[in-house]
Amino acid sequence: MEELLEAVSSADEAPSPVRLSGPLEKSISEISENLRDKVPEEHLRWYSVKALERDVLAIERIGDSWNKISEIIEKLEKEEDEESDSLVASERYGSISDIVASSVKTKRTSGSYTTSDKIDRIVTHRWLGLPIFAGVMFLVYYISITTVGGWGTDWVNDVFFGEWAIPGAASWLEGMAVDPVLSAFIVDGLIAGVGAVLGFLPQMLVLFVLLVILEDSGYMARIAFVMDRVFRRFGLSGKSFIPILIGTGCGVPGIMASRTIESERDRRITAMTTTFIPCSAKLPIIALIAGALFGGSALVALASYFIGVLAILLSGIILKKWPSLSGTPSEFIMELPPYHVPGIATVIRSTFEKGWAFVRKAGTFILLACGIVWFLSAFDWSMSMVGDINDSMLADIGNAITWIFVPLGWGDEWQFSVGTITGLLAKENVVGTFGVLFGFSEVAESGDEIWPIIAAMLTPIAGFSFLVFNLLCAPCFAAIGAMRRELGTWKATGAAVLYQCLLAYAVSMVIFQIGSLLIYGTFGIWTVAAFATVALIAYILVSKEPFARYRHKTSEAAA
Amino acid sequence: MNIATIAVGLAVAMVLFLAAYCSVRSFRNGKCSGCKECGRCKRR
Repeated sequence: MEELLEAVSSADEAPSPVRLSGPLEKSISEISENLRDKVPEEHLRWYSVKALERDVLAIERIGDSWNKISEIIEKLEKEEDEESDSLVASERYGSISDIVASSVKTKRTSGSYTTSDKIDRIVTHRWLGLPIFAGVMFLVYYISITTVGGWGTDWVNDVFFGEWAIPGAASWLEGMAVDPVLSAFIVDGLIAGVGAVLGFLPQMLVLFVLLVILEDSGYMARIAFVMDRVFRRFGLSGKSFIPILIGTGCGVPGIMASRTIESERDRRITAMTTTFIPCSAKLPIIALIAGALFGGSALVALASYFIGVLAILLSGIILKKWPSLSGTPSEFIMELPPYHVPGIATVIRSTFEKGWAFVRKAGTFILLACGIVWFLSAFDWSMSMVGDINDSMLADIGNAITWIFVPLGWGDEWQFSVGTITGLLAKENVVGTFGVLFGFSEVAESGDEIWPIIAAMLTPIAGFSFLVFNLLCAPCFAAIGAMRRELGTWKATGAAVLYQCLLAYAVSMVIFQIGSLLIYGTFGIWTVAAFATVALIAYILVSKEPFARYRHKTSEAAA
Repeated sequence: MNIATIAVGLAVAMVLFLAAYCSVRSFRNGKCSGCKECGRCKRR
């Protein structure tokens, strides 16, 4: 380094500045003309390049001339279809590479591509990137939900719990002459409920293995780069995709990861929308609906994933139009790590940690919730055991709220409303609740599963509507707590939760009502409401200032 | 109520108590879900 400094200081003349490409140099010239009276001549080029990079301090120095310069930059960005700061950074690195190539001798000839570069030319291609990503995710869910993971889940449900655990526990308790009520609590409540959730552990483990492989190989970093181009069209930046990527494991660290976003508005929008992406807790619900109503098809999981992404993109447009959240997306510059073969130890350790977290949650939150659900479903208000579950306390509670979900197609049966509410504690509770309510132990004895019962109660379109509602509505309490920490106030958190529930309700209603119209030809008042909802969402998306009436109120609140 | 019922009942109560304790503790630990992805669990 000292030799370099010595060589630079002893040079006869100052080195010429790095020349950029034609369009950039043209923009720099135009910007320089506007800055001639504002900055010293010898610093003109430096300020012009800084303005091109949208440097905050340079913009402050430029003052009134920024409006004209901003037009020049926007024209360049439109012509090159890229952000100006990314263009400058890219050209700088290109110049550095040229200088290094002419000065440094390496084993490989300059201009040749590494293996990582060759792969990146395909997976980050402008047009092929997204279809390749969709194909990879389909393969991931096909292996984990439909085939390998599905076989494991079938064995755990049918053999481990269906033939061993539940009948074994029931006969042991009977042999010990344990009180029948206590036996029912243990077998029909705790084991059946937790068993229904743990039944999906094989699918979860296979999914974790595949996701860890994708992450450790370096492919997931490329996805953030590919999605940046898509997100930018919807008012977000690729930086918002990193928390979403983390949210596929658990929404809590995903929401916390939004702290890396500099723009406060983008950070708040990301914190509010991260939980739209299916986390690992929602996978049992996806697997349950896919297995019960769609023959275990991997397309259900893929559709859930992309509905989550679509909800995030639409929310980016809608929320950006809210006065307090509007603004331009922040820049996204990221160095892509080279690809490498995932280490087996890393894969095993990471999968074990995620799997253990899932089992631990089942043994704590879900165990408690299943106990409470069993109690409420086994007794009436006078604390007498009921013969028919429809006479229980839980049925009364469920019937009191289930009417809300009638337009969504699953409001006729109170069990689904109760499942949705218990899902607020932990999303796996939805499946655990069904395990208790639909009598997992009883049907296991007869050889049947929960799936035929759900198939008899819901049509496929109603089941998909139920799935989408649980995917998009308010997340679990832990995630709501994380949102509170990021958004700052309970008022903002409440508004975010309300937005999520409204969006979930709207989307689920549209899916069920319009889907039923197309498939079964059913038409009613709620079909009209669904079309009105679509029109309203379209208006908000297309309109420039749909929330203009709230601009004055939010300005007053900010002041 | 026989001895088996009492013993099993106590065992179930202990399990539920432990489950409640772990749930409350993880809930109070910054709303931690025990996923270990943020690294906070390791530091504790």
